Amino acid sequence: MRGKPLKLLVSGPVGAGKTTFIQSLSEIPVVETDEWASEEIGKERTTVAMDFGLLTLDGVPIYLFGTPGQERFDFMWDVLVEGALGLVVLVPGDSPRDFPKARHILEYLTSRHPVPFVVGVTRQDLPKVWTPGEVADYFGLPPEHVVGMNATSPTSATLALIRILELVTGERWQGVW
Amino acid sequence: MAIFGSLKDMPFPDLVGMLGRRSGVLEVFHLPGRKVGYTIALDGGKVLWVREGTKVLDPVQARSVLQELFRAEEGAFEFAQGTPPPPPNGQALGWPLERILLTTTTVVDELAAYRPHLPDPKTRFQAVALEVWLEEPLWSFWERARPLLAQGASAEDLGHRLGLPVEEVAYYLHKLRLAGKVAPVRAYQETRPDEEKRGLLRRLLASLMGRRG
Repeated sequence: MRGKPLKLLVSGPVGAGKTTFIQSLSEIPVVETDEWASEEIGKERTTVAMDFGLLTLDGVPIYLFGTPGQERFDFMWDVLVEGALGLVVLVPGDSPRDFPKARHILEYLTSRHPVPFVVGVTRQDLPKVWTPGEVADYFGLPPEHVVGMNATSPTSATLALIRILELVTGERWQGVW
Repeated sequence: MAIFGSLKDMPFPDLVGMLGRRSGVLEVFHLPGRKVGYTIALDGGKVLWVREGTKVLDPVQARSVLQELFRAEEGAFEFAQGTPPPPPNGQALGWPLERILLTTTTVVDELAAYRPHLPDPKTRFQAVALEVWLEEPLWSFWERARPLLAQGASAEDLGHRLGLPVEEVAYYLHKLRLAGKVAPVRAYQETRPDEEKRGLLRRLLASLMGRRG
């Protein structure tokens, strides 16, 4: 029996790995809305509306929505986060210049919407990268709210989702972390 | 003798420096986007009170007006020398002009530097420390904002309630955050999911754990 669908929102600055994160969790080909970037963002194509993927857990469909990273689409944040099961804000750990934008997004959304969240620090496979603990200090967050990850790894994305559910249920699964 | 002119020709900081230790009433008017002007009473180089139209402003609002005037590039002024009327509520601000000149310049410079890092006007903050030591103008702002910050309030809410420009409030909140006195609200901590939802989420968690294995 299929349960009522839930929603997970993935947000973060341009190039943080949102589309890749959704691709690594989704059971279906991700619906992307890539277009040529209209401003200088360090890459040629980027998400302009949203990304969409689907994950099913215990018969419950979880819609995976990725927000566009460019500032002129900020108005979509409130619409997409409404009623979400959780929020993952991705930040590229090798690019501290993106941290203020990521913090801006996180604080805007989490102070206005009752949504549990984690910050995923991507590109942990690189040699010069901020650790999750260091990023937690910058964001002023308890360490359990920040996870290190490689957005291309399904295990890594699954662990981020597990962390959100742990935070909501208040239950820690022994031996996982 | 008449001291009058345009802020275009004589910016407000120059005017304040020139007024020095004079006593009198300074009117500033024809400011862009302002229907009413400001009146500043000076006594021997100290600010006694500030009025917007006919309304005498509280200290936080008065400081905000002075900051606005420091940034103003258009507007007219006229200074009438003499003994200024006392403050209607009997409480003079007593701010030395030269100190205002220095602190306001600092605020204006800081605001420009912090602008890219200021929180969204709608981001809600709450007080996380009750006993604090702060310098002016942060202290006066904190005193007025604290009751509202106890419940959680955004720069937009505070600007509306305290009669201050939103960007200035965002600047104060940013400074208070840096000082560890406020932190963003985490709205999900204000509500607990009901038992039915927690049960569902436990099932999802168990399913995810199964996948990992």
